[in-house]
Formats: sequence, C-alpha cells, structure tokens
Amino acid sequence: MSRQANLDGLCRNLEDYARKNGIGVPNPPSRAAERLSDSLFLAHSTSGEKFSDICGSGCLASAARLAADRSAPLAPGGAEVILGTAGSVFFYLSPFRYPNTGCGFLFAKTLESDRSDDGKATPFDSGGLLKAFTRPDAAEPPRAFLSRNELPIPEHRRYLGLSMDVLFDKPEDYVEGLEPRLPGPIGLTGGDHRRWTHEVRIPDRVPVRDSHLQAVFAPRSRVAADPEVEDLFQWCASEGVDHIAFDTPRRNDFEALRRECLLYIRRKLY
Amino acid sequence: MATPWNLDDLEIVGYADVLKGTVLPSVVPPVFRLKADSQRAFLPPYSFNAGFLYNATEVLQPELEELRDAREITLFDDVFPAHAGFELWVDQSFQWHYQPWGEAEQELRRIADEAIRNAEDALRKGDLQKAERLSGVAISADDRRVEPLAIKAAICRLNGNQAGEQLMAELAAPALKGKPFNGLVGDYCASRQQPAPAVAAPSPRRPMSNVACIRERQAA
Repeated sequence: MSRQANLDGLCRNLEDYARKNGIGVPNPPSRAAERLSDSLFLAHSTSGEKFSDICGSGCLASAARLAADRSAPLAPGGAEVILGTAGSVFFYLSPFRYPNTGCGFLFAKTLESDRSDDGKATPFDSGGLLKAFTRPDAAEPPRAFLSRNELPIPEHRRYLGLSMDVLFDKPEDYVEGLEPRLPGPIGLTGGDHRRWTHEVRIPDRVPVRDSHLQAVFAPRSRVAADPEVEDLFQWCASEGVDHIAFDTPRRNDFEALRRECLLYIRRKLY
Repeated sequence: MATPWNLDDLEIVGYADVLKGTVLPSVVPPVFRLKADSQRAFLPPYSFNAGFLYNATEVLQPELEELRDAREITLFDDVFPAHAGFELWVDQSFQWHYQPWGEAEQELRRIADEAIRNAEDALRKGDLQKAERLSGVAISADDRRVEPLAIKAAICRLNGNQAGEQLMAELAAPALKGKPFNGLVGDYCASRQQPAPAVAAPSPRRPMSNVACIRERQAA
C-alpha cells in the first residue's frame, strides 16, 4: 500500500476512533493544532563526539553510510538492520527526545518538502517496535507493522494535527511530552513518549550547513573547547541561524538540552 | 514512577558519553549496573537524591554493548562500586577518576587554574595555538571561567577573526557582558606585545585580577 493510502487510512481510523469515544473531530482543525503540526521542527540529537564529527563533516549520515565509510559491516542484530532503516537519518518531529544525548540540530519543515520524494514518516519511533513497545498483533513482524504505518512527508503532519486535537488535552501537550489522554488507533502500548512521537527518516545524508537548518544546540564548554563545534557556531552566526550554547549544571547534558530546546520551541511556535 | 536504586547496590561499568581529546577533562555521567544482577544496567537521564538513583533508563547488557558500538557510551574494562556524593570525571589522558564531589571540583578547578596560567603565558609568548588548546582545557575543566573565553577571543582578534571573537563574547555573556569582557580581551591582546620578563615578577597583575563575576554552580 502506498504511503498516501496509509495516511488516508490512518486519518479515517482516527476519525472513527474519535466517534467511538464520543469525541468531536474539529473540522477544520483547531488553530493551535494546525499551527503546531505545520511548523514543528525536525530534531536530531546526538552524543558529543558524534556531534563534533557531524560539525566537521558537514552532514548527518545514516548508520549504513557511516559503516560504509569505515568499511565496517553493520551489526546484524541491530534494530535498524532488522527493520531495514539503517540507510536513514532519523529525526523526531518534537523537541529532542532521544535520551543520553547532549547536542542537537533542529531543521525547518522545508527539509521535509525538499525530500518528499524519498523521505518518510511514522507516527511513532520505529526503534521502539523492537525494544520498548508492544504491538497490537504480536504475530505481525515488526517490519510489516512499520511498513503499513509509513506516511508521506510532509503530509504526515495532517495526522499529527488531527491527533493533537483528538488524543491530547491540548495540542501543546504533544510538544511538551505529556501523555495523550487516549492512546489512539495505532494500538501500540508500553515505552515512553516516543510511542506517539512522529519520526521522520531521510535516506543517506542530510547536509547541515544548509538553508533548512533552523537551530543548533550544544553545551557552552563544548562550543568553546571543540574547534569543529566552534566552527559550526561561527557559521551559524554569520548565516543568521539560531545557535544556542547552554550551561549544563552537574554536566546533566540531556536534561539541559531538552529544556533549552523546549524553551526555544515555545518561544518560536507558541 | 520507576524504582529508585540504592547506590550501595550499584557498580559503575562506564560512562554515558564518548569523549574527544579536545573536550578533556570532563565530568561524565556514570553507567551503572546492579551488583546482584550484572545483566541490568542503568543509563541517564537520571537524578540522585539521598544516596538513591531516580528515573534511570534500564537496559540489558547486550544493549549496552550496542550503545558502545554505536559510540554513544564508553565501557570500562573493570567495574567499581558506586558511592553517594561521588563524581566521575575523565582527565586529559583519558584516565577516569571517581572522587567525592568536593575533591573532584577542587581538582578540576586546579586543572583550570593551571591551564589558564599556561595559556596566558603562551599568549604572551605568541604561541597562539598552544594558548588556544590550553584555553580549551580550562573551559572543559571548569565551564564557569571567563578567562579562557577571553583568551580565545583575544586570539580571534589577533587573527582578525571577528566572527570568532563575537562568538566568544556571546559565550561569555552570561558571566561577563559588553565592555568588561572587551576590556579583558584588550588586556590579553596587549599582553602579547609585552616582552616576557626574564625573571617572573613576584606578583604579576593578571588580566582577571579584581574581576569576580562568575556564576555560582547550582547545587545538586
């Protein structure tokens, strides 16, 4: 089934689900849901060493690309290999949510429009299918479940807007990471907020020093001490790209990164 | 809410980062595992309170190895017991240290002081590369210090790199804004032009003397 057909089916399922649960589906969507779903940034966060490499190389690269560049095979048991997603660069359509990361990039929606031919989205974190979430039908292989929930980009934002109105108390809750009041029609259980966070995958590489780059985040000490990071921040300053250097009390990098990103999104989009 | 874990029941198997030499020394978040069950490990984000670890992400041993292979964590060859109030940090030769928080702070402050002194000296002697590298050591050891940012800004100014100087001013802004920072950078630039004395003066005036506007580290 095509990704567009998946999207149409999923939106219909959500409308049916809303009716069954006695919830009205706003038509048109609420202004907040429309605005947020249409403008949310694509987030990619990573550890300090990888961030430095990305700043130096100038692009985000898929696991398969990085392995090929190292002439090293991918671990056969890895989630991305099992799911067939190792050739992709991953983003969340949300603030940074990948734990244990300290630096990150936000990209504008224009990246999705630019890569609509080869990029795709799912209304959950694909990696969680193997480790964290329980699928409604355990007999269905994870790869098949993934495939029938793959959506076109940027059109997947239509489902996001609908679900913000139907499943969440208010659209901002999706951004804030607050649990939806209803689980929705997809049927996943378990795990954390990545169960309902939209994931966008772009094949192979995504250039960083590009017009789609919205903002860069790194701890202040890393910007000052790592020449590759400093260089990217200088580029951002010269190009008018937002660059956020933040303090990391007790070096709790992820919490600081998450907080700074959320503050940034509230400032820009609320 | 996830079960809190008593630190007495945990040991440390590594840290949740992979570090480049340019960002050392660095305080790092430990990766813990249960003493009683070596298959169960705990990753950040987490918090500590009264000797307990809260809200950690539990993973199994094979996933730890996957994360190591993906360059997201570093695993040690040996494990050692966790203690409340201790800090894990990695020095410039990638050697780890696990010390009471106050001792670790003191040692990192000493490294920062020494790196700043040596960076100032290198700047005076015109060795800009060394001065820049040592500034990186100082800011990595103690990110509250303004001097390394001013030294780096001075190097940018001497090299005609306006964007770099502006970036250092931005980084320093939470602690020292505008004219005072500019003045400090000017002092450092001027120090380069002064011939190094044959014998060190007993109490040389350092550019940061009488400047005390460094934010306090937040309590744990």
